[in-house]
Amino acid sequence: MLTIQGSGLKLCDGVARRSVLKIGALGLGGLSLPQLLQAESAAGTGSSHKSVIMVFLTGGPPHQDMVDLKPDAPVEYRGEFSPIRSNVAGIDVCEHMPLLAQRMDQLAVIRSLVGSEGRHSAYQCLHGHPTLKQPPGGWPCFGAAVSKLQGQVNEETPVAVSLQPRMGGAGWSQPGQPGFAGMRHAPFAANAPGANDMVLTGMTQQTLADRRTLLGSMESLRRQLSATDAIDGMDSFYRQAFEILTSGKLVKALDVDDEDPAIRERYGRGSKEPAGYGDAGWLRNEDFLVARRLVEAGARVVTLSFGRWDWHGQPHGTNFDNARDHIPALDQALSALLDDLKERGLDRDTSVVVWGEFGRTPKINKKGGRDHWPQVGCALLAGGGIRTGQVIGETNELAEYATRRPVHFQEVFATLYRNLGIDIDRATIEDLTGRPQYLVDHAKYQPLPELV
Amino acid sequence: MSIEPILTFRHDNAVYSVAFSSDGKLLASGSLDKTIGVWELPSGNQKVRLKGHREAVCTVVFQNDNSLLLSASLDKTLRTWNLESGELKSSLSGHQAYLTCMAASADETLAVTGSHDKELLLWDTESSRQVAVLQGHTDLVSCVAWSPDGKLVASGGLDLVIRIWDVESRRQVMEIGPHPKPLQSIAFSPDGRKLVASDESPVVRVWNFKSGKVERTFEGHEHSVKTVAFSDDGRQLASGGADSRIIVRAFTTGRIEHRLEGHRNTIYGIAWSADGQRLASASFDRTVRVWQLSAETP
Repeated sequence: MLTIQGSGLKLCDGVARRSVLKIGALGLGGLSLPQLLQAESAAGTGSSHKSVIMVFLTGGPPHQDMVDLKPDAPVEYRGEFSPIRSNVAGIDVCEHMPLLAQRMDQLAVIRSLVGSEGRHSAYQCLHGHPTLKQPPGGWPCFGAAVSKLQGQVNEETPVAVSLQPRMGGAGWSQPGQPGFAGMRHAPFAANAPGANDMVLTGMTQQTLADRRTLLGSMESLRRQLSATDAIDGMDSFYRQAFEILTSGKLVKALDVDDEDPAIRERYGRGSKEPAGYGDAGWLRNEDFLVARRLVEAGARVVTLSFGRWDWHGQPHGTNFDNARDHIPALDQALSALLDDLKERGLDRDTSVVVWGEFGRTPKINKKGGRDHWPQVGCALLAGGGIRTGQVIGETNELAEYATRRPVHFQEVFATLYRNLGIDIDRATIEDLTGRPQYLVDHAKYQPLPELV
Repeated sequence: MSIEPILTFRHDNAVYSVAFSSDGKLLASGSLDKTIGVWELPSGNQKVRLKGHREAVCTVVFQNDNSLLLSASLDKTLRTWNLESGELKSSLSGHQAYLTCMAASADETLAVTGSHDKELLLWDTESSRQVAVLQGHTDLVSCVAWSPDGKLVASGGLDLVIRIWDVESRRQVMEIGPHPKPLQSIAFSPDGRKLVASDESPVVRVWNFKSGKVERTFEGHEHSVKTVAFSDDGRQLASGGADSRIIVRAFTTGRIEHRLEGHRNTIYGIAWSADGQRLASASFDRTVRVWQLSAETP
């Protein structure tokens, strides 16, 4: 419990200072944070900073049913979907991606993603490294590394924001670890349990009408905490809670009710119910919109999970049942994001990557599903000034393995770092032993020359 | 005759099963969202949402003059619900793996469930107890059906054969097949003479189960056929498939009378109202649709 009273700060772990604002659980009759901060004027639109939006397709999407179809393969391999032409000659995609097919000139498709650890986890997509043999302190996730190296765009918005909700599958649920970058660089988990429990109690809108007094109290509070390093000492959750309390910009970015209804409809809504049979996150198109809003608010890295793509077959629907459910949703949400970024002039500065932890088995199993296939997978990239309208890599006739230009996860990360202006050949972060660690194995992996 | 959708109900996830009450005034649907929707007809108002299953609901059946509802779920339970109170009346369990299908006898005294544990369990639903284990399948069971006279049960699954069980002796009496692909659904014709089965192919097979031979096949779907259902008078057969389409045909001739379009994903359940005037469909697109037979000719 974080309590702010008078001109001081009281922490529930015993720091004895008076407080005026008590941040507590819902149900105590206070105003919700979005309500309180709704009156604040919109702060800033657009951003000139570089950013990355990462979409994690939880569970491993079927590459051969999305962007690497094999219509000439035997039926037990090729499945139920047919390819359609895109607006780039020679690039076909799944029939359930008609919107993205018309935006293929804005996308780069990797059909030969390799190097998967084969674990059901967001780890590799968020960190770029394998989980084994980590340096002391653990690898920082992409967002934490960027936070460490580049810092905040503004004081009100964390560098890295994760929109992933808590999931039954623990490996999917992580927002990314701060690792040896330090706790202060941990991504802000906007949908973690408790994040929505920030309520100002004991105050009314009338009482808080004097915005200047309130903001002054906040500024005083920040100065005191900064002077005493108390912020550094806070549990990261409370630090994040403090940031959310005092950051109208962040709260506003997270509130899609504030968005133009026409824009919301373009993205589609989706649901906050866990997708599939309940151990993954949700299939919520609006997270793509929130990601754009967060970039505008100053976030450099936004990660979100979308749906549940681990389709082993009956009795939870076949691979194709689930694909017909998920792929159109992705088609709509990603297309809307690309259009939105372009219309706002954010496309050159905002990189987008869409991927999962691995691909899926070429041969359909007896339950109508596809199982895990770490041998090869796929990724979609857009924005950030990369050369789009192309396919990188190729697989064999059954989509079993890369036959040309295998692309490693770390090459994608190298590209993303480069798009953010970070030189992977120079930038290092010290691990807990003081040893400087490069962000990727730069001796082996460089930004994709096909893209940059 | 033209068939138009008149109502659409929604779940938060795929819908696997649907059933009309015998008086046609209620519709029940079972979903991957773990709930059972009970809807009033013709208003479309939700009467009650039954919650308690911990996994997808695969089959729903009205019983006891529509005052009770029997539901089977992947959570391995067979539950009975009081529809007036919305409360759970009983919960039976016994399977060791996903319970994937259920059928109730016409006299409502027995039910049979099939499972990924390769077994069928026979239940006395009046006394709420398991009465028999039917073993013989060599792979998971995906569909079961009860003969109209209550004497036989048919089951199918990944071992590709249809097994016919005598209810009284609890023994397998016949094996039909094999199908070329895993079985998806089975239905006895209302006169008890034929067995209709679908599998992962687009073809529906009509078996003379006494001779054990295929009498005819029905085509028309583009992908696997997931569900088949006879109208109560046996005149029509409806099938639903992974092509998101429902085909209604005259059973005797096989002539396609209607193609129902509108769902956006696989059809997993079909039910006819007792008067044969309405059809309900359950789909992976998270909706249930009610289709009305029209008196007007197209």
